[in-house]
Amino acid sequence: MASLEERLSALFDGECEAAEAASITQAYSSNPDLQAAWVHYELLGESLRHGRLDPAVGSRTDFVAGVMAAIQPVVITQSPAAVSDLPSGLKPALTPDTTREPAANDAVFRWKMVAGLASMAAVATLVWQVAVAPAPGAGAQLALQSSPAGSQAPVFQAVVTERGVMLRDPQLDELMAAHRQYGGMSALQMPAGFLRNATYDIQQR
Amino acid sequence: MSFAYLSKFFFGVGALTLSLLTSTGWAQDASKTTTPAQQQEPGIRGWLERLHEAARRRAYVGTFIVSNGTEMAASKIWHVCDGTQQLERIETLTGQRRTTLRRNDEVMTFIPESKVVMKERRDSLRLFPDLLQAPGQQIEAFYTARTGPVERVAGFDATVVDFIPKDNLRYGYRIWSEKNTGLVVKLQTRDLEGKVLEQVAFTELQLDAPVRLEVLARQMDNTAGYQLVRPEQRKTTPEAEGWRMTKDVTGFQSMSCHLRSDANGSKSPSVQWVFSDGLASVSLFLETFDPKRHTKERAVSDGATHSLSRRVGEHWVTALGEVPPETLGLFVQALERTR
Repeated sequence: MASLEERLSALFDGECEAAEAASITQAYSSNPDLQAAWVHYELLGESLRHGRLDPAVGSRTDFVAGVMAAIQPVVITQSPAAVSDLPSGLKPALTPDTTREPAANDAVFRWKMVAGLASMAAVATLVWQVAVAPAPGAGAQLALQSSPAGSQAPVFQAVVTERGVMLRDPQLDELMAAHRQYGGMSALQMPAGFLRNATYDIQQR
Repeated sequence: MSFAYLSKFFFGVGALTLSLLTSTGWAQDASKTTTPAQQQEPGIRGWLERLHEAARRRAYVGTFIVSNGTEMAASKIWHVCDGTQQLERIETLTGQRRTTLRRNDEVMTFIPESKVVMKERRDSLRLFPDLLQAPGQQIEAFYTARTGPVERVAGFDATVVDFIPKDNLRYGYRIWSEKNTGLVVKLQTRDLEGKVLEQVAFTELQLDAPVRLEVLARQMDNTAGYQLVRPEQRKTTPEAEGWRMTKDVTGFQSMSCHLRSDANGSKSPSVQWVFSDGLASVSLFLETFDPKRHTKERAVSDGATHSLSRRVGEHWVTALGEVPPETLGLFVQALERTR
């Protein structure tokens, strides 16, 4: 039986049957070695295509490990200052490294964290960033919900999937599904978008 | 170890060493060679027509992978057409078992686990070429097409073409179009720095496969053992729902607006308002603010798709789309209630 990496290599080369593709993509999600190998194949492809390699990228053989180490969890604060800041601008909500006071309760959310290559690499660098602040007017209710014992906010569900434990927001998942169903208003929908939307995994509702 | 794997390993080591030692000058020389395709640039409209034409004319079977980092999903695809209609079957190979059957804009989604089949018509599949002809929808104002070299994908030679955004409100796309048929064999969504946010690609492809149209048609019409559900899509207008945009987000036009059947059972319906610039779409989900459900304003990223949720007066808005987060911010800021 070929090793996992050999099978991934076959997938990359388009020499892989459907059933094999399924099992490899499932293994990929939970296997950092396979993820690094995919990145390597893409890098290799880019260097062959363009005859050069971005030196910054090429030297980062342990890029994946480096990015994972550098990713900091997003800490949520419930200070009134954060609430009043929001209406004036969106930047605080969108910047993950905005300085915030640590919350008294356990309010660290990590929906999902992924590392990849930047720039020349053909594999996405994906960081799931959840920058959260209490909605105006919901502060009091939130305080009641967030106990010092550090329970997760009721909105999120820890779901055990074949990809491991993930924090999912069912409300957002539902909107995402609706966007894929009705929001694909694109000239690329027929050539590829529809196939993409039909392939994506959706949470059972 | 297979020969292919070994040869890739050694070739990879050699190629990487060579490329690292190569000077920039050599790379520049290599990029000066032009292919005949580059000398006659079809333009973005020409390319989009070619990509669409391929799906209308050729049958194929393949394995399709969608990836955005460490998350991957795969499906098996059968596609057939007879010049007037297209039939397609997409069977998920990962995650929830699901078979989607499409005949032009009619879509049936079979979910074996719950024995439910959803039947609906998708507006988004009827758009082209009207999408490009709609007044004000000048896709060339926002994207440029640039043809690149020929590369090999899933065993086929494909021309690389970039759809490059002209501003920073949208993402770019790199498309590998099979040389003879024009079929999209690979597509990447890229940000302004060229970073790949999402990729879809055939990993296995058989062109002109002997897929029989009547076989797919029969599968589509066979709902035995399944409960048929027709999701309601009640069309409406933003004005009727009491919303307007105080300012256009450059390039994006309102495409559709409908009421959503609320899965939460809440009495006030929510609205989905869809915008597009021709290639990227944004959905604005508008509902009445509910403190029990709407507890946290947040910005979330998932590959090429971003979302932004916040309270706007007595309503809760979630903007979601394959655009930079800042663009979603512009949508939310421009939203206004009219009553």
